[in-house]
Amino acid sequence: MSARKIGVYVCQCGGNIGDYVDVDRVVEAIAKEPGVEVARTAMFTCSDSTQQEIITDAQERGLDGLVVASCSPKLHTYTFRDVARRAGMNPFQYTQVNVREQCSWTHTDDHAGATEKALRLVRAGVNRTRLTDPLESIVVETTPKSLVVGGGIAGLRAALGLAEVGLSVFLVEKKERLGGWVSGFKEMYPHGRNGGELVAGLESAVRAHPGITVFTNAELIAKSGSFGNYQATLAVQGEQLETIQVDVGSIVVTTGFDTYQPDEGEFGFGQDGVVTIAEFKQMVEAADGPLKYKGRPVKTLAYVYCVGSRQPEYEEGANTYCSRYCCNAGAHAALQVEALPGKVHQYHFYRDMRTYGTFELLYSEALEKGSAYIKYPDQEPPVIERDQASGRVTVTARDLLSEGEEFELEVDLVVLMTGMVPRENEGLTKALKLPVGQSGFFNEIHPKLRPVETVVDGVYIAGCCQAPRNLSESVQSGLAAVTQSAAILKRGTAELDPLVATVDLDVCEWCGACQDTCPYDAISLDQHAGKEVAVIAKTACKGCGGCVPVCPANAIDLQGYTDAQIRSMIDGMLGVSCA
Amino acid sequence: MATKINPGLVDELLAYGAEDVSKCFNCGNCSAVCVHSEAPFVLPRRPMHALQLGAESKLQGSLEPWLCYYCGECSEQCPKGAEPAETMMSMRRWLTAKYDFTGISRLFYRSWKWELFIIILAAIATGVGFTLFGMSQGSINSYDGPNAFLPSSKIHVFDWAMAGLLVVLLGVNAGRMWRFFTKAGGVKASLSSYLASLPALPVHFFAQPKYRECDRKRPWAVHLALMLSYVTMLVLVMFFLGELASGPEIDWRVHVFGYLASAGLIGAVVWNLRGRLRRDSAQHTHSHESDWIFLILLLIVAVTGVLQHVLHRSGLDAAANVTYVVHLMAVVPMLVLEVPFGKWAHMAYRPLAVYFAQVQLHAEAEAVEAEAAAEAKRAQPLASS
Repeated sequence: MSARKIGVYVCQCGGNIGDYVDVDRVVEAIAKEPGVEVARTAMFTCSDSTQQEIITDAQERGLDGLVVASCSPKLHTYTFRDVARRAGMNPFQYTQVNVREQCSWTHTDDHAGATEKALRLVRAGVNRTRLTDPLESIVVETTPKSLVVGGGIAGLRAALGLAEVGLSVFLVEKKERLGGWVSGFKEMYPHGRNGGELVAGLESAVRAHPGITVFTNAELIAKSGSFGNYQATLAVQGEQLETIQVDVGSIVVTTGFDTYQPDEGEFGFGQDGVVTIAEFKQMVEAADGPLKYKGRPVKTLAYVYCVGSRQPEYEEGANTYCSRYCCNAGAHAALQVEALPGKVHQYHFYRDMRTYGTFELLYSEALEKGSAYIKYPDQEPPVIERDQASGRVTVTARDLLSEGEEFELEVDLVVLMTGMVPRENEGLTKALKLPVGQSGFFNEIHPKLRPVETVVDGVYIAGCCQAPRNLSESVQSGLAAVTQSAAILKRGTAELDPLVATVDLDVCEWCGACQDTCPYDAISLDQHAGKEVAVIAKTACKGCGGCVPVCPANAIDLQGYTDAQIRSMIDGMLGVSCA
Repeated sequence: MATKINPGLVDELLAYGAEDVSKCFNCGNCSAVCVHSEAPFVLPRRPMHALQLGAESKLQGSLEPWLCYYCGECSEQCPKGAEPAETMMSMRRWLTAKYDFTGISRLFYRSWKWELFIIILAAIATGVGFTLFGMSQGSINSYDGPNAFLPSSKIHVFDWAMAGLLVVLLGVNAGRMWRFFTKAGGVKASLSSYLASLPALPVHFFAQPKYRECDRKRPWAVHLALMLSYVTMLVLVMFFLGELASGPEIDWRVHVFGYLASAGLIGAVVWNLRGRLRRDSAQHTHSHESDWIFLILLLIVAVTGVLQHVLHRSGLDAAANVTYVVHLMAVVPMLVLEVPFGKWAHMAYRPLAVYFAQVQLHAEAEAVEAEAAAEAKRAQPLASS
């Protein structure tokens, strides 16, 4: 007989589980398993009333283990850990069993089979729970300092935000000057503020703040240490190159974007009369009279959208994403041109007008002021040709809103609305082990719920290094990273899951295999009882388990998922209770 | 062949009143609410978009602006305030100018000052001419009889000459309209298509049955009253001028039509003027100068026509003769200038457009039939083998 007192709760999830799995039969069978003190079904286990029922059961019957068989652990692990804690149990002596995504939803055509599978899954969960030890979260003391990499608008604002909550900040900028792209902008939407002035104001606030240390001509070249206490190595190019090491609790990466550079001939690029939006903006903002290109008056102008964005998936290395800013930038540029003296006919060759949110007003205004929009088919980009003899540039495209009719427009200038691309950041990516997504931008953990966190604890991403964004969105994400940093650094301590690998030092005969396999640099060589052994930094270990099977001496175990627990779960699935 | 874009087209149409077309973002609500928008004629969206893009040749050959009767529903439903109905109206003005080979239309629509100046000039010339003519051969104190100031037999000849001129002007312009329609529209129709559709012409000239399809019926009814009154008056003047003017006794068989037509004309003009002054509906919200000139001229014609008759019947022949001259001062500019070159030209172009539209449909149906026959022929040897 087992000495454990385990509570098992099998959820019907409305009908999501109950319609396919005979939960009563599962409960009836599991109740007979050794160590199971109480087994019940519930309509919604996550509901307040059932949570309360679990707590009452635990208190009345003295439960020391909890099994919840319901949905994916992605949804409610934290919910039921908290229930266990409130019920007086150790949160790590609770096991989540997935009988919805991995059972009822996948076997809707086989009720008997689904019921049998659910029973085996729950039995495995009970077996694992029986072998749990009480674990405590790993508490780490954190360094109340933060490092911001990238001195563009997002980085500047994040640095100021971090300093304002009382953290010491190091701001590292690769270039000579702070400010990034925005410092080169003039009038911006919607308030007409000058980008250069905006950045200058921010920069002076950053430089004036006693809590912020700015390094320009500097790069982050290495990072060591573990969560909450990182050592970052900076290479600073002064009179001579020197390296500086700083201790920080968090790192905010705001390295920004690059503009797409079209290939020679792509949308006519490289020919006289074809420019990118970046070049065009400079032309417009420098104009002190009617718009001119190379001294020639511009009377008719074509913007061509989606250059370097939303490229077809089948193309090698295609940028399949939408750069999001270009539609807005086109409408904005059109209005700037409109404000210059002299009439300019402006044509926009677009695929979809994605002037989201208040940018719709910008688009409306551009329309009202006379911009014409031609919707070209996704697979048939406009053809831009220059007649070498006459120098005339024509744009030819089909318009989907004119029943696909082909139009030809003679223009004085073509503006390619080039999108955003990720920067070349190989050194930084390696130093921080930053995850890079399919599009080449850095990846967050969860786009909705954890939008600035990366899989590397304490390393946050913000601004356009993560995805194409506009200024205010970049600043918002920068401030989100400030909040996340403050959450771990202001308390002075941070908690980590104790589900990490541990080494039995008596068994370990250092061979280095585990160190080689660890993707998080958590394993190092140490001395124990006169021999070389592997030690694992609890705060660096992510509990991936990669080192466990490579150990020839079988000295490593993963807390919460020990070999014994895994074996017991397999037994449970095969129908053995192994009490 | 790709259609060449004329970037200046919107600017050109601005001069004809298309102020708000640029606001259009092509949602198509206007065409969804329009009862006349039916493939292959999509209105107002298609001509609106063609105009916005500067597809001049396409717009020039388009019948769609004429298939609209300006009920105004599209403008009421437009989420952007692009005023599709008024834009279509301005396209009709622009098309009228395009059809007109003399360039007078273009001058009139783009400058109401010129229009008014030339109308007044023509009125003065008419007044002086008829006064001199009357004085040379009759007495101002005699309205009818052997000594009549403006004898109906002579005026009659003048009327026919004027009608002849009108037919020539409108005929040439209608021919140009047909050429634009077949060339830009790429419509190839057989003679049988033209003949089979012919009945549409008089039907739509006299009764505008398509106007009646609009959700609002009153504008159609008023327009029909105006049209029938106008035609009645035209027939009376052209064929019964003698009976209308002469004799001490009223010839009721003729005059009853004259009175009804006069009442119809004045009633319809007053209804329209009142509507435009009050801007009481979408149809009356925008008034171009040419709209005012059209209505006021018609009102002057109708009122002076009635007045000279009343004065003559009251025995005030001298006053009747003076009024008659004033009447002619309005009639002549109206018929010689406004009918071929102004808003009145729609009297010819709209029924013609409806007719051409039917020709196009007929030709398309014929082409489908021919294709089906050819298909059947191709399939036959296979079936027999």
